[in-house]
Amino acid sequence: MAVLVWSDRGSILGNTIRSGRRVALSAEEYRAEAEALDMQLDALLDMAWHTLTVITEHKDGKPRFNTFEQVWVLGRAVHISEVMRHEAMLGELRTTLWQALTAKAWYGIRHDATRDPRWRELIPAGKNQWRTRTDDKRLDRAYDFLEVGFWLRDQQLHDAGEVFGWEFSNARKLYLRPTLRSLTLRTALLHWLRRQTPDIREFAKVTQTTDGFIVFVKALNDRFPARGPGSALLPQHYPDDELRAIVCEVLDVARDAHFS
Amino acid sequence: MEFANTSSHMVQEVTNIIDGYKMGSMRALAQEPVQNALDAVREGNKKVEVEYRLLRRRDEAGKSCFMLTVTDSGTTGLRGDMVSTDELEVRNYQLRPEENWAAFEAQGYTKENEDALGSRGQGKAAFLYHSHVPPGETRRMAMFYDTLLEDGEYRLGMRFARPVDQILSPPLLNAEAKAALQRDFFPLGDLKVPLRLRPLGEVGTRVMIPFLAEEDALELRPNGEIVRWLQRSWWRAIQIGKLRIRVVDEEQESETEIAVPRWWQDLPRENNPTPEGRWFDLPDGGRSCVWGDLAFGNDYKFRRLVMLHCDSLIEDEIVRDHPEYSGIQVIRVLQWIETRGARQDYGDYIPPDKRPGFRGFVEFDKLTNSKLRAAENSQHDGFDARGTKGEIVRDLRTQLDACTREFSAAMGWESATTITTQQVSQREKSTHAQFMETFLNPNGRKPKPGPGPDEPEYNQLLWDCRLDLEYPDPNSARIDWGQSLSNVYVEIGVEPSEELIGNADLILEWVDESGQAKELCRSEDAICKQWGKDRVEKQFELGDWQILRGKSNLSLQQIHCPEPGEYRLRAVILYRQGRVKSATRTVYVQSEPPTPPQKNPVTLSISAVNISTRHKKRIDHGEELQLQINARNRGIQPGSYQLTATFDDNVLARDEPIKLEGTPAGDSPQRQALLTEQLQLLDPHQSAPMEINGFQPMSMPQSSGRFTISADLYDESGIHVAHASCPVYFQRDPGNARNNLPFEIEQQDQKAMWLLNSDLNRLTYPPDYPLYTEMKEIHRQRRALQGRLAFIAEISANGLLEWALRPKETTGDESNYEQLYDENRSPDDTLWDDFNRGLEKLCKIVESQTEYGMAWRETVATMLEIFSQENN
Repeated sequence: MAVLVWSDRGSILGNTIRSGRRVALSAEEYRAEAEALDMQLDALLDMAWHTLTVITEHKDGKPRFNTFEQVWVLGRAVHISEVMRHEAMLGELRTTLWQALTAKAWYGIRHDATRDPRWRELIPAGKNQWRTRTDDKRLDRAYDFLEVGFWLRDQQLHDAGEVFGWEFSNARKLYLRPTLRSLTLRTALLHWLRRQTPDIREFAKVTQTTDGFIVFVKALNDRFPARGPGSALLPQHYPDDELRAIVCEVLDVARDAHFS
Repeated sequence: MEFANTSSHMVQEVTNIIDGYKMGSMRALAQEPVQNALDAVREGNKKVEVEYRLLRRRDEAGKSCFMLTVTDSGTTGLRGDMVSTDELEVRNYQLRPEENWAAFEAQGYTKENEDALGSRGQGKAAFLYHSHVPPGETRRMAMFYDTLLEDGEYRLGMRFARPVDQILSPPLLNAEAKAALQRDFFPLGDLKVPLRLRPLGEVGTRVMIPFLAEEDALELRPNGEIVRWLQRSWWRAIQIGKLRIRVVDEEQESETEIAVPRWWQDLPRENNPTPEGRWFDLPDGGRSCVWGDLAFGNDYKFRRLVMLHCDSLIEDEIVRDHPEYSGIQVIRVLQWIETRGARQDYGDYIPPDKRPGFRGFVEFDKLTNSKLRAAENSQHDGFDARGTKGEIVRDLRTQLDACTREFSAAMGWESATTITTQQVSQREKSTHAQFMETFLNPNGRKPKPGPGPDEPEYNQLLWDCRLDLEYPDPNSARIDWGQSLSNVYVEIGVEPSEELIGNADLILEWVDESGQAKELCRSEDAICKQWGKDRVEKQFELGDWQILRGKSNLSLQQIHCPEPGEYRLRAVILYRQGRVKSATRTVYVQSEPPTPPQKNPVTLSISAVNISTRHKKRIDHGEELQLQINARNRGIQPGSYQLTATFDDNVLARDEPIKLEGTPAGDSPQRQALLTEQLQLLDPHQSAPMEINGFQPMSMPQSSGRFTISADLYDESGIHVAHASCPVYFQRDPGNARNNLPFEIEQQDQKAMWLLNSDLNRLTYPPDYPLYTEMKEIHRQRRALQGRLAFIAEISANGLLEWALRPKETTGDESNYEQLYDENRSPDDTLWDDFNRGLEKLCKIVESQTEYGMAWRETVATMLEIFSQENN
């Protein structure tokens, strides 16, 4: 099927129907389904925006948006609204939905072409590569904040925030390693973090590429390689207790090695 | 006022000097005055200020003209004695370091304690070049320079290239100089130069260039090219607070201060860089690595090397041929000299789409700076890498190359090798595809026997054939004349039973070294449908077979075998006039078999077949997948192992104990099935179709994607023995394997004749490979192997062998090998038999590189023959 993607060129609104699948002539043949989905996205964005207003901290009366919270809110809203099951999404890759959702939120355009600029607050600052990237190969990376948000959908905000130190880049580091994406691993990681001293927990919040959270991500990645020997059994294949024991063992070693 | 002529053709000289700047005159103008100012910094002063000021003046006739002044402050000014040309000659063209005035006026001198770099008059030339004194048939240039010294002395000098060189000698001093500056016009022979300038109020120097060319004036405004060149050349000096540069347009009352490029604003200040490099996330989403105190070459050192990449950066280059920001800027003593280009020099490591966002710079310690100066060209815009002096440059480039490669790897960029422009011709692509199709088939199974044109499509039959026998020595495949192969036993299985149409025969054959087969016995219509059973199974006990050198009788189960050598006993299933499956055992008659391989004696393979739709790798909702995990043990001894296998989130086996029988030395290892699953794959967002008997429904985690079946085999002590993996494309087409090809073919710059990438999905060759370029491009194809297409076939053959054998040798994954090795293809054709035996040989002799190489070349030759035979 297909999605409807809004555009705003000098206040001139327009939309196109896009599909990631092969279509006979043009994706316009699926306009009806795409417009129905667009209407559902209005509700999704309203829900996400209201959630964001509730959880965002304010300082001096001004909201202080946190990228981690923004992406979690979007991912959760996509999940709850069940747009993935919409008939317009049949056989579509998620990237197609992200194209529709991001443009709609950024330009703040409802299905009836009325404007709602508040939705722009849902898009994290600096995550605007989607506006300039058009080639297929790089589209995925432009929307990775939405992918990460969608991936986090099945974990409570507080738990997820605790695992990643409320840092989007930490979440992304784990997400970029496909073998470490399972919820059971995140739960085991949280279990381990909660047993660490405040110093270690603070260290795990650091977002640098050589220090902090990445130390533990690398240790887990070595234990659960994506390919080659030892890659058959991944975190999701272990019973919870066994995985918890493995994660504790691996991370204890990584911690001790780093701080020795 | 007196003017002294010098003997040089100044205009020609200036033009020659500035034309030597490969990046143009504007870079020279941005570079030379600032460099001179930094060299003349006043003692105790930390910062030098340079101001480029554009002024509009009117000449004597009232015609508008432009003048540029370049003023430095915080410097010593043009101090020192005024040395006449004659005196300079007497002093053998030697000046003392503090004799700046003389240096600025003279040409071709050498300063004590300096090399000849600064003596060629680049500074003067950079100014003069932009002056176009009107009118005149020949080009004329003029410049004025005034200086206020610390002792209060004021000097005004002038140089006029008409085209001979003329200077004001002696210069005007103090009040006279100031008065001359403030007058409307300065008389210069027939010419009156409009100056009307205030004298300098601070110690320093000012150079005035009258009669600027109109187009140059545009570039000298605060939004012109000069600003960009100044930033490129001097941002590092500005950043560390040693320099301030302003560009002022007096007429438009605008001003720009040269700033540090935004991408360098914070990064180079990061403290404590290490030789191993420290990584930083950039606020814009990019990444950067900073190295510090990194030694290279012979005691040389990078004080700091920084590389960054950020997708939001766009290309910002002025000239096309020589990189400025796009690459690694080499900065010597705070001055940018050259840039090692992201495209030109590091194109192998930086993919094209990453190049615009790539930036870097490197600066050095004191010793390295002084050594580099010796290799720097007089224009200060490049280094000479030749000779002894250039050794440091070569070392520098090697080190930068290594660091860039490291950066590229850490960024997870595919080497640019993999991202190339597609230049492979359609005909070459077709040849490659044809080659692959000759040797492979979808799903790794030959779809034989296929339905006839009028027959309906039916599910593919899956055959199993196993040939057991006992050698005289259970550990070796050797048999001597007179001895027997005992208890020959064949077990055959086929499913699904209901798809079996008609009956099948079993044939036992003896195959000699040349591939000639002799039928030993045949059981006709031995395999037939068994109602009520999903799988047909049949066993044949074929007794003992004696090997004789002399007279023999087949009816007495004797095999005539007069020559010692390698033979094979083969059981073949004949079904509907085609050989659908066979099993082979190798026999060494009166000769010693090779020893079994030490490396990876146990291998795993996975076959995942879409049995709903033939010839299709893609599996759609509701279609059935048959997956089988097999192992071979090439070692003599049997062993106990544990199998772990998963398909996406599903565990198929966890530490499942299995036993693998050993293979007598020299015998072909038997494939042993460890696990077989029949799954019906379901889209989680679609309703499940009707259940199929015998097929376990499996809901996939996503509506579409590439999922992986993985298997690991461990020995009893938990040591990893073999690994295999196999992709499953659920509701999506295999991305890089269109037309079911395992890999695609592309051109790229490389040395090797061919390369297969680490993902085994891209085979590349260099477009300038000598053999390739010497071959004819084919416009009208008459044969399969012709001109450049023969080259393509050759590298396709090599690529295919590597694709099959590399995973087998590295992780014991035989999945690809199993697809290539097919005993059933045209068994009557000795070429195909040679090919199969070539593959077997490659598995047996992995220890000896020489023999392995020879077997490889022989197999490639066989493949080319087969390709030619099948496609001509």
